[in-house]
Amino acid sequence: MIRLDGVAVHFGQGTANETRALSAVDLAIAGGEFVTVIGSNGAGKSTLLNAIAGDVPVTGGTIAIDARDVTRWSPARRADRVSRVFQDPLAGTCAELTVAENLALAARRGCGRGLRLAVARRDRPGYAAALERLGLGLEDRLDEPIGRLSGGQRQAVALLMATLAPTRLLLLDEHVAALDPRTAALVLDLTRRLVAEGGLTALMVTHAMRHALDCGDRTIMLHEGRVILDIAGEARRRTSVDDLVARFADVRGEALSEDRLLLG
Amino acid sequence: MSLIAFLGAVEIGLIFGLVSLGVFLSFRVLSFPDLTVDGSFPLGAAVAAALIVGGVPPLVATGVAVVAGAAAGLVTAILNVRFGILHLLASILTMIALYSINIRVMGGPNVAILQEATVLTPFLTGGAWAPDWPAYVVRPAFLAVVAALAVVGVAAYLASQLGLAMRATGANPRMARAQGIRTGRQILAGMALSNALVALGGALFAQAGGFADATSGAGTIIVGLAAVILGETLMPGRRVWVMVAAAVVGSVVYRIAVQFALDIDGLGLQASDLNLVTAVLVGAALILPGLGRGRLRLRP
Repeated sequence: MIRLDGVAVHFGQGTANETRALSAVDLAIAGGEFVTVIGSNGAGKSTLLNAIAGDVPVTGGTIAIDARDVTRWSPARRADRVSRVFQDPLAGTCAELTVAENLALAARRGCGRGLRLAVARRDRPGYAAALERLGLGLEDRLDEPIGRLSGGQRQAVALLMATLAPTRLLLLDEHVAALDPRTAALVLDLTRRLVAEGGLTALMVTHAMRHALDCGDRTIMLHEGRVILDIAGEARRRTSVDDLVARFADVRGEALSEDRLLLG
Repeated sequence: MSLIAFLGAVEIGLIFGLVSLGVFLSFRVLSFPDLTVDGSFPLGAAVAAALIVGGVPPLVATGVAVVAGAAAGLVTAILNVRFGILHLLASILTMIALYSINIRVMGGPNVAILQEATVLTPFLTGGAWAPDWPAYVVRPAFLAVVAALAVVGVAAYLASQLGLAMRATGANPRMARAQGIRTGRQILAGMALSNALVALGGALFAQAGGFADATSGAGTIIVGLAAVILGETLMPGRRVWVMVAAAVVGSVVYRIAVQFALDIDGLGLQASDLNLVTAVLVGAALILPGLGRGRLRLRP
């Protein structure tokens, strides 16, 4: 159970350029829920994820995971309960480390690290089996530097890494946006499978309305740092991409008319 | 080149092999350009020499020198991690501070320990474990054992879970944090380990050479870097063991090559040209890979 109460993130506070990336977001995500997040550029989608991961300090409000207040925790300290996949396929893995070494790093997320061999012989079959499920033939490339893999392959491995150790919340930040359509479909499909198999709680940012409705079981729309739409269940099933687009146009129009009022 | 000159080059190469191990840790593993080594190398020499002159057993003196080096690395790391000072600048601050500290430690700009017992004494003529070899063979043999132990230790550490966390910290800190690695701590540990190795090199340099000098650190970083780059060229490979051993091999080969160059009368080089030769070598090694990749060819 993830709970955000009045979470606000202001950049450049106290300066003329202060921007409110998030203003008072309340959000409760139940265990096992798969939430998709949409919104226009600058709506606060990435900031929301960064705030939950701890990469961006919040200016107000609290973030709780399993009733534990983590608002002031560093990203590393939160990593035992929050895992993530970045938008940039190169960001989630270490290019110069081998596939096995990357997996070994992720397998110990949230555990202590000691002087034992990082990639032990007995770990390898498990890594190979996990890679085999990706269906990309990577199980034979355990000892290759991961930098030799394509962006799509690396993103698939990053996704696998985020689910290798137990996680209370999986954060996906437009993780297929930088991939070609075919690879994007593959990674998205993989996302659905891994989330379903693990019964994971997930929060996925996407700019594709289709993905937002096709994946998961709840969709929220952010606009100017606020949640302006929150649909699940029957209401969500009845919602089409066109409805979402119309909703987008709506809020944009409102913003526009507000501007007109101000300027007029 | 005479055998004595050759073994002398090997000896210096092995001592600086410890330095290049340290430079490998900071530059390559942590991606932390650390100039502290220019101060921590003479620091190791100064602490060991001063303590030995003061009657402290050489092994203990060497141990204290290593700890002093680790402390110097920690200072640089704390300036960077805790106070956000640019890594290069943080290391220069520590480096210049160490210049004054080293002179304080020695009570002057240099200390001679030619007459004192050192860690090498038990293995030299008349010592408890002395083999029937001349000193110019014993010294490189002893240093080869020390360097080999250091290579095994560093490689084993880097292959461990903690070592992998350190490598991830240098390669992709954001990803490392997302995997629960406290990157700040990794930098502290890595910098302490790096400068401890460099100070060990300094302590052995003083004991093998019979003196410590506050100015002996100038250019240490470039010599270490030259060895690392040369090692990578001679022994390419991504396995941890290969990369670590390459740093020491590079250092030894570099010293032998320098000795050869100095021996060729036609070149007219003198010992003080070493820094220029090193700078040109490192510069070339940094430029050439870029040329190969066509980075410079893009310009019209």
